[in-house]
Amino acid sequence: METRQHFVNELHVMYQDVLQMGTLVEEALRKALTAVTNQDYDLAEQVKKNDHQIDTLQFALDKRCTEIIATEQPVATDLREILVAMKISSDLERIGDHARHLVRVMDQLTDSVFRETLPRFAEMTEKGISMVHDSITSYVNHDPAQAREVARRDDDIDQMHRALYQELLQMMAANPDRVETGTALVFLNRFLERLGDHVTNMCEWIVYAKTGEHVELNKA
Amino acid sequence: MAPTLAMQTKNLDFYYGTFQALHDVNLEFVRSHVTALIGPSGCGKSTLLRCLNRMNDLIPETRADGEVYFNDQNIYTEDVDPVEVRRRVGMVFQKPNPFPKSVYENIAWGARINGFRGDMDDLVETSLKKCALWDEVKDKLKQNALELSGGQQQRLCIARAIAVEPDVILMDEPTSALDPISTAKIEDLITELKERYTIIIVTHNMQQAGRVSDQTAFFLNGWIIEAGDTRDIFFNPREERTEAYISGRFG
Repeated sequence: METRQHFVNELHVMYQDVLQMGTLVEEALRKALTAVTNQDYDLAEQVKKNDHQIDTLQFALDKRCTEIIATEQPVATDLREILVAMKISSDLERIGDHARHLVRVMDQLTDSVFRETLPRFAEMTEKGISMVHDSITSYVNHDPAQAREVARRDDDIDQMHRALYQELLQMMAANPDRVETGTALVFLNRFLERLGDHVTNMCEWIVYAKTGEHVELNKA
Repeated sequence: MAPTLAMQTKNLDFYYGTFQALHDVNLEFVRSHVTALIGPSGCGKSTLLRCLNRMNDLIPETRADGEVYFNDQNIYTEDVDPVEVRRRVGMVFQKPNPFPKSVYENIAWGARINGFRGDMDDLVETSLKKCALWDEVKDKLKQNALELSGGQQQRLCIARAIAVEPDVILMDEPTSALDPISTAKIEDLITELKERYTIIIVTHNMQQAGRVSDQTAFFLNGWIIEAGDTRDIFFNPREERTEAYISGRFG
């Protein structure tokens, strides 16, 4: 029998919590994208409710981690894994906020410009969702190589962000009456770019959990 | 030996009869630092501690091979007097063991037989103050030391050890018989004393090793598995066996 069974069980529940939080965040992003695409206000409401659930889970996870530290006095890899669970939960919570931001600007996205750019927003969001998914997998599998690979994909999101930003600026310059829509889209673009940054942060922490060394992934 | 070192072992082996308890131990003890020796029971850490002031000489049929340096002198050469070694390298044990005499005599006795000629009252007061015990016992100096609490007795034993002005203090699980408050006082004391003395401590309490020591050495079956800065050992050890032990996942 493995020693410190209770501690091992506690860590297992902690990993499950991170996994659940990651799943909720992925779901929130996907629902937000669908809600925006289909102008589905009921689904948008669900995204807002889900965000509350993500926040609650983050508090619960932080509390669990704090209690494990207080009662089990973890060291070395165990300690780093717990610290990293808290860091990742914080990034996931921020990504959840971005899903909420996405649906919050829905009203301003009725313009034809939005229709034209939607496929690219959808592609960025899909990339973000797969990055969230794979980073959580690399965390649960203690796989820093996969985390590094996931972080590299942030370059794609950054590239799309830059191209779309330029395009939106030009559109606004040419059509001053569309500045309101254009600004909303610039923000949306920015949220999705930040999503990639949060996943990159998570990947850095996953590498740290395994190696004990801070690395900066994807710094241009 | 580098001037920053208080003690050093080189290729040290130790035997109880035919049983080899230490294998090729090479360790450096930095001056004015606390070094913790950790490892499971029977791994050789207390044996090493006793090698450092030749206390093992008192156990029949034991043998030490290799070298133990103290101030550039190998203490295992024939011309070295083990009694003088034990004065310069003092020891505090697991269970407080004050003499069944007054608090005052516990401090004064060792100094007297070591030929102390100064002001004995002053020495007693200074030693007790250094161990943060003076305020608690200044009105009980004539009282039998065995009437003090366990934590006070252990601090008295540390005061007794430092009254003869050693350079190094060896501590063999000094708080394992004490409650958390007395333990905290001893740990605070260790941190204060390391400014003047080099301290080498055997402990089974991982958190204690993490709290009080600058360097840590992990022993297993008489071998050093890993030694280095305490922060590295407890946060990012190089050896899997070290990690398994400090995280309580051994076996």
